[in-house]
Amino acid sequence: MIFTDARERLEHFRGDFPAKPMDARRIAGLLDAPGCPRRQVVDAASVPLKDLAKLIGCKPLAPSPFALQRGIRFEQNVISDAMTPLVPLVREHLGLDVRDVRQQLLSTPQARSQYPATRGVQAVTELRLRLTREAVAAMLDGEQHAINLLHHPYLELSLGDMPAYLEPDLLGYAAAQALSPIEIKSFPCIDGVADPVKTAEAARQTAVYVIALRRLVASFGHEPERVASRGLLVMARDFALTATASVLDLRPQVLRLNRLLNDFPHVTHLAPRVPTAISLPALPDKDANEQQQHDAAKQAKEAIGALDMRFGDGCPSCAMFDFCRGQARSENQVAQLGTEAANLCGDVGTVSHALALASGERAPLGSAESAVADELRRAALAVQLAGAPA
Amino acid sequence: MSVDTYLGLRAVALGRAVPRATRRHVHLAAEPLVVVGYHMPGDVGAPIGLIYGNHRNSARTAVVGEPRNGKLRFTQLADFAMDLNGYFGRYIQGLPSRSARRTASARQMPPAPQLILPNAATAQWLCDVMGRRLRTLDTEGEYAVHPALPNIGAHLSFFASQRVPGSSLVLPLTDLLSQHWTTGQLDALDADLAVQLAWIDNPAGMKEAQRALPAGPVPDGGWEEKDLGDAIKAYQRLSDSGSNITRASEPMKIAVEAALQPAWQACWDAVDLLHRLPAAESVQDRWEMDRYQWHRHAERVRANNAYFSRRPQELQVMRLLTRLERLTANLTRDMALDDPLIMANYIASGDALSGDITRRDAAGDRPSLSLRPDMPFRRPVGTELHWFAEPTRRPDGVTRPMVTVEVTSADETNVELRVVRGAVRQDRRRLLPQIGDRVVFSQFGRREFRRDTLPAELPWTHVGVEGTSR
Repeated sequence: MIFTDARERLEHFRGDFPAKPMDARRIAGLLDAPGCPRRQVVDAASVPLKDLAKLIGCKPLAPSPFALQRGIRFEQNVISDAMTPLVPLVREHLGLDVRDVRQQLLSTPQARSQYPATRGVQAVTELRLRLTREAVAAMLDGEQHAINLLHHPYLELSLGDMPAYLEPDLLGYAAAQALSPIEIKSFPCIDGVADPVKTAEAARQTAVYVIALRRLVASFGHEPERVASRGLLVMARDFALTATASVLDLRPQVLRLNRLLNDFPHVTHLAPRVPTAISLPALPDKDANEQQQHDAAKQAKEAIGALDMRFGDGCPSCAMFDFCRGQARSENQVAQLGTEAANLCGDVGTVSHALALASGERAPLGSAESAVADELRRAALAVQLAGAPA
Repeated sequence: MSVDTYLGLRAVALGRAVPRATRRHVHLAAEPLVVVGYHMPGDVGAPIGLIYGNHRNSARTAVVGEPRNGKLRFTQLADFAMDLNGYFGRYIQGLPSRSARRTASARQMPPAPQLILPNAATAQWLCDVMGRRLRTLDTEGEYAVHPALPNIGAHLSFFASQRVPGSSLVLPLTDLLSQHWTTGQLDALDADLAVQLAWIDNPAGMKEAQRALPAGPVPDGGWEEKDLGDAIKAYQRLSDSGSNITRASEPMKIAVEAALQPAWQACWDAVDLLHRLPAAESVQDRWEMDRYQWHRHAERVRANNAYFSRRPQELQVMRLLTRLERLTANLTRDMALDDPLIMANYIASGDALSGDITRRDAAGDRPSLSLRPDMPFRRPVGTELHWFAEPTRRPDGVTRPMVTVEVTSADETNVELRVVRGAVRQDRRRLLPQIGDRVVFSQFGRREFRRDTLPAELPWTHVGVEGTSR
C-alpha cells in the first residue's frame, strides 16, 4: 500500500485499535526509553499502552486501591474549605500575597451540563479545549494575588506533529505576574526530605504541564514566561495527612522535555519504520470468545513484533516490558543484560556471537568487532586466570 | 565493566547465575535478626505486618488488624518492639576501655547484633523510616505508647546510620547476592529476591519465582485489593461484634503469613548460600569496626544519651560524605585484594597487572623486576603499582608488607618495573617475588584512614548555589 501522508501510515498501523490521548506521565516517561522505535511508533499512533500491553500478554501492573484512596483524601484535605491549607503554603514558599481563591470545573460532565447541545467526542474535546483556554485567559488577565485551581482541564501538546491531549486531574496556579504551577502529591516529606525518585517524577510531570500551558499562553500572544518554571510541590508532612510544601525548580526538566518533544521523530521520519502490511486488531471486548481473543492477541503480537525495538535498562517501567523481554531472550540478544552490555558489545548483537568472539572460536570481522572481541577476550582470560571455570 | 558483561553473557548461555566472587565479603553473625514486612502502599508509617526471628524455624508474626488506625498500630507493635529490645539487649555489654582497644585484645570486642532484610527498600523502610517514626513517640500523655517502641526506634536509627559500604550491621540480601553472583537479566530485576535466588540456585523454578508475591516492603496490588481488604473488613466485623484485638486480627495474621512466608524462607535460603562462600580476609577487620560502632551506640543508650538529629547540618553532611568516600574506597580495595575474581575486573580493564616474574635484580641501587604480562598492559611509563607480600606474623598482629613499583617500560610481552618503596632497604629486598612467581600488581595500596582533623567550616565545594532552596 502506498500512503501519501505519513500520518495516514501511522493511523493505518493503529488499525481498529482504539486511540487514546497520551497523558503527562506517559510523555514524561518518554525520557525513560529514549530512542526506542517501538515505543515511539506506539506513542505517535496514540495507542493506549496499557490496553495494548495486556493484549500482547504482558502482566498488568495492579493498581493500589489504598494508595489511590489516600491520594484522593490528601487532595481533598488540601483544597477543601476554600483551600485553607494551601494558602499559607503559597504565601510562605512562593512569597505570594494571596487574596483570592478560585476554582474552575472543566471536566466532560461539567462541560456537557453547561452546553447540553454539544454532541460527539470531537465536539466535546473542542469545547473543553475552548473552556480551558478561556479559563487560562481569565487567570492571566484576572486578579493577580490569587490561587487558581482548574479541575480536569484539557490541554493540547503536539508530539512530533501529532497532537497529544493532556487531561490532568487538577492544575493549580498561583498568579503573580507569572503563573506558578502547584502540584499536589500524597507521598511523604519526612523532616523536609522526600523520596528523590518520586519527587523527580512529579517534577517531570509538572514540567509537561508547564510546556503545554506555555504553548497555549503563547497562542494568545502572551509571553510564554508568564507561566513560571518555578512551582510548588505540596506533599504530606511526615507521617500524617497535613500538607507541607517545597519549591520546585523546573527549568532543567522543562529544557529537557522541550528538547525531547521538539526532536521527537517527526512523523515523516517515523513512517519508514512503520510496517504497512500489518496493523493492530480491534480490541476484543468483554463478550469476545476465546478464539477471537486468541486471534486478536496473535495479530497484535505480530504487528508489535514487526516494529524494531531497543531493549535496555529503562525498559522495566514500560507496560510492554514482558513482551519485549521475551523477544530479547528468544533472539538471544546481548541487550537482555542491559545498556552497559549492549554498548560494550556494539554491533555484536547476540550472546552466542559475543561468547564465540570471547573464546576465540570465531574471528572478528572489521575493526569495530575486533575492538569488542579484544575486550571480551581479556575479560575471559582474566576470569580464567582467577581460577573460575571458563 | 567488561568482566561483569562477560559473566552476564555466560549466565545467559548457561541459564544460571555465575559467581562474581570467590569469597564472602560480608560477615554473617551467628544469630542475626531477619525481618520481612509490608506497609500500607503510599503510607510508610503504617506497617501491615512483619515476620521476624533469629532462626528459620523460630519465626514470629506481628500484624496490625486495621493498619490505618494509629492507636491500634502502636498497641499491636508493642510485642514486636519488646522482642527486638530483647534481642538488642543481649548485645549491650561493657565496652573495653580505650587502652584495651588499642592492644591485640581489641579482638575481644564483644559481639554485635545484625539485621538481615530481603532488600534495600525494606532496610530503608525499617531502619530509616520506622526508626525515625518510633524514636519520636511519646511514652506519656494522650498519645503514650509502650516504652519499648521508642527504644527500638533509637536502635533502628543507629542501624540506619550504619548502612554504609563495608558495614555488615545491616544486610540487604538482594544487594549482597548481586555482589557475589551475576545473573543473566537486567540489574534492576535483581532486586526481586525470589527471581534472583532462582537464577542462582534453582533455574527450574524461575517461572514460579516470577509469579511470587513481593518480599516487601510494598505488597502486590492484587493482594492488597483482595486479601488485605478482606482481612481489614474481617477485623472491623470481629471487633464490632466484641472480639478482642488478637482474635479480631487473626484473619490479618493468616493473610500476612501466607504472603510473607515465602519471602521469609527466601531470606534464609540466601543466607545459606552466602554461608557456603569462605569469608574474605578483611571481613573480620571491618566487622570489628562494626562492633565498635555498635558498642559506642549501646553506651550512649545506657547513658540515656542516644540522640539523633532529624536533619543533619551542612557540616555534618560534609563529614558524612567524606566518611562514605573513604569507606567506599576501602571496600573497593579490600574486595579486590581479597578476591582474585574481583581483581579480574581490574586486570581486564588494564588498571591492574598480572603475570609471571621473569627477572629479579635485588642488587644495585634500586631493585628491579621484569614481568611477562598475561595480557598487554597499556598504562603509561611512570605508573605506580602496589604488590602485597605474604602475611608475616609479628607481636602486634599480622601485617602484609607492601612493595610499590614504577613502570619503566611496557610492551605486549614484557613489563619492566623499578621498585620505589617497601623493598629498597637491603634488609627488605628478600621480600621481592622470585622468578617464576605469579603476581598481581594493582592500583590498590594501603587503606585510607580517617583524618584526625576535618575542616571546622564548610569548604566552598560543599556550599550550595545562591538562590536554591535548602
